Amino acid sequence: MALPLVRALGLRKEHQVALTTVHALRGISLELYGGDFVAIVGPSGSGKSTLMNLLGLLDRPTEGSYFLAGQDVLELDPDQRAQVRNRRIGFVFQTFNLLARSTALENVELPLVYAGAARRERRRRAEAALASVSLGDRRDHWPSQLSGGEQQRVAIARALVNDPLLILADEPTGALDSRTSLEILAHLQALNDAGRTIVLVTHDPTVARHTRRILVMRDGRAVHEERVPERLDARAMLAEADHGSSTGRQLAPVPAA
Amino acid sequence: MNAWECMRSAVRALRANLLRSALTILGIVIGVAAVIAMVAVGGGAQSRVADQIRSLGADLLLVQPGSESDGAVRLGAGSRDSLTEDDAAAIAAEVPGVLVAAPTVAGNAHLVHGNLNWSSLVGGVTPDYLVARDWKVETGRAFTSEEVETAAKVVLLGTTVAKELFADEPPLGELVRIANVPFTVIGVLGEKGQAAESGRDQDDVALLPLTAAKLRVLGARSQVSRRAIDFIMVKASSTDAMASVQEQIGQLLRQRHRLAPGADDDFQVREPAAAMEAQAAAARSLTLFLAAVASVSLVVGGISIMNIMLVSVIERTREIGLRQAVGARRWDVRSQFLIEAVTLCLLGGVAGIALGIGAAVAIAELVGWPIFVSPLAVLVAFAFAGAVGVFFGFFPAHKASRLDPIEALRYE
Repeated sequence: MALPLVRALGLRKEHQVALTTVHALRGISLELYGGDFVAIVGPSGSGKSTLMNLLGLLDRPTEGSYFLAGQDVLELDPDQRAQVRNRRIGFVFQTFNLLARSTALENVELPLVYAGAARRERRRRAEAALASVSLGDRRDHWPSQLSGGEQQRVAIARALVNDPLLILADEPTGALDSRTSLEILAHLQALNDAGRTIVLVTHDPTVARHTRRILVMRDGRAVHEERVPERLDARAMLAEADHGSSTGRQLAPVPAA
Repeated sequence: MNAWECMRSAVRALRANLLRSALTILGIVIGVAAVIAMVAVGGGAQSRVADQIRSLGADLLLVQPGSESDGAVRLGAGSRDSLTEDDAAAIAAEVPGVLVAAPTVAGNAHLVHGNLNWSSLVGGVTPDYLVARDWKVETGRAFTSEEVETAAKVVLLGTTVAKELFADEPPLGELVRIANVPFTVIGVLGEKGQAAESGRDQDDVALLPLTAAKLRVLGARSQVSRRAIDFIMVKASSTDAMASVQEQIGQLLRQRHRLAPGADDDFQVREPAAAMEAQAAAARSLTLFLAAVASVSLVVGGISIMNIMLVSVIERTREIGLRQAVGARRWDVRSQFLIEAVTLCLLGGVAGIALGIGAAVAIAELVGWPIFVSPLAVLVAFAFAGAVGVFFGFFPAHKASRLDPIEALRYE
């Protein structure tokens, strides 16, 4: 296999809170290859979000090394990290984080704005990204005019629009009902099937079973790692739900966060 | 993101809080409006003085006879008969930098035309007088030097006199009796308006050839010299030459009047425009002072901009975090908020300019002061508003750019 896309070794993260040191990560190593779809699961406080922030270059580890596509990204200054985030990483957040006063299309364009793309180019690529999440007809809607699922799909389009190496999804279904969650998972699965590398943070084992690999964390350590034996197919489950689940297989409930 | 898009997104952000934005820029609006109105009123006062200097005639010197003492009784300026037409001719011929030197006599006389009569100032002048005072003949023509030599019975009327004697009839070619001597009206002078110093109506005047005035109307000024005159109007070739011309006229006249060294001058040379210049300078500094006071409100306005921008940065912490996450560099965030602050201030500037001009026009209408809105002042006020935006917007923008992306994204 080729070089790993993500190669993180011995990541530690400590916070000073008052006089005590909180160990958010106690040494985590992780390798991701192109086309991976990894779920990081664990209870709150297990350090999964911290790991996500480190992988997304939003934060720096106290110790450890991190190579993204062969580049040592811990040496970079904040502006250079911003550029790496801009070009190589797409973020999907639990709360969507869309700009309320921008249309769906403008929200998707945002990363391209900071990449310095020309107006026409931006428009073209943002429209393509919106179309890929089946929202081509919602381009001029404001976020407040969209449902939660639609907003998250806009966010996915925004994460895609710069053609990133890595998509980081932090509890992407956490704020959605079960059916809408399935839609989002179906989109993520389709992206992965098309070759995208995705890291998904969730505390929900059912959601995790839609990925290919699960990393279980507890107290800042990776305690277990396994391949998903029988990957759930969100699209099939959606189709089934639409047929009134007559075959008897119940749609697994996906509790909201 | 280029500046234009920044500005558009700034306008959008400001529109989202329309009332708040409007209240925020109020300080800038009032500051700019006050500066503009002050400068407009001050500029009006200045341009009125400038007009007065122009109506007097620029680069003008007034040479008058000195005072006379009869025992202990000292008579006022001009009471001596020491100036003559020959002095005027000598000044014109011998002092470099003198354009014209116009000998003049003046007195009051009664003018009659038909059943209308009017008492007015009568000036005996040469054609040079009109040159010295930049006075145009509006209809008809000026005297010729021949008419001056032959003491021709012709008269130029000021507009006020023309109106009083002729109402709406055309005065050209009509006869006017001045001190019972019939004169033919050959022209009507252009309008000069009020004199700056005395407030006298400068158009209430009738100009006769110097000789005719002395021989036929006012009588000789002096029993000693038939050539004595009341004053000489000297026009210098330029403002720069004024001082040396004044100096040399003094020397020439002392020499001509054979004054012993140490003896007092028997004449005086005045520069009427100087007093007006001083007045203009006073008006100018008052304007500056008022504008400075008004611009304090611009600073106060700037502080309220800074205040609201700080609030805005806090309110939009998550937005900033998101922008950072998708690739905004510190510079991008800083310029976004800076442009927003500057846009606020420039909007305030535009509103303030409109309000200020409106206030100035209202002052002109209601109080009747002259105003002058200088484009430069408008430009400076606008630029200053922008500068206030940069100055007071920088700190909040800098603060925004220094936010930690994770903290910002997590902010509730």
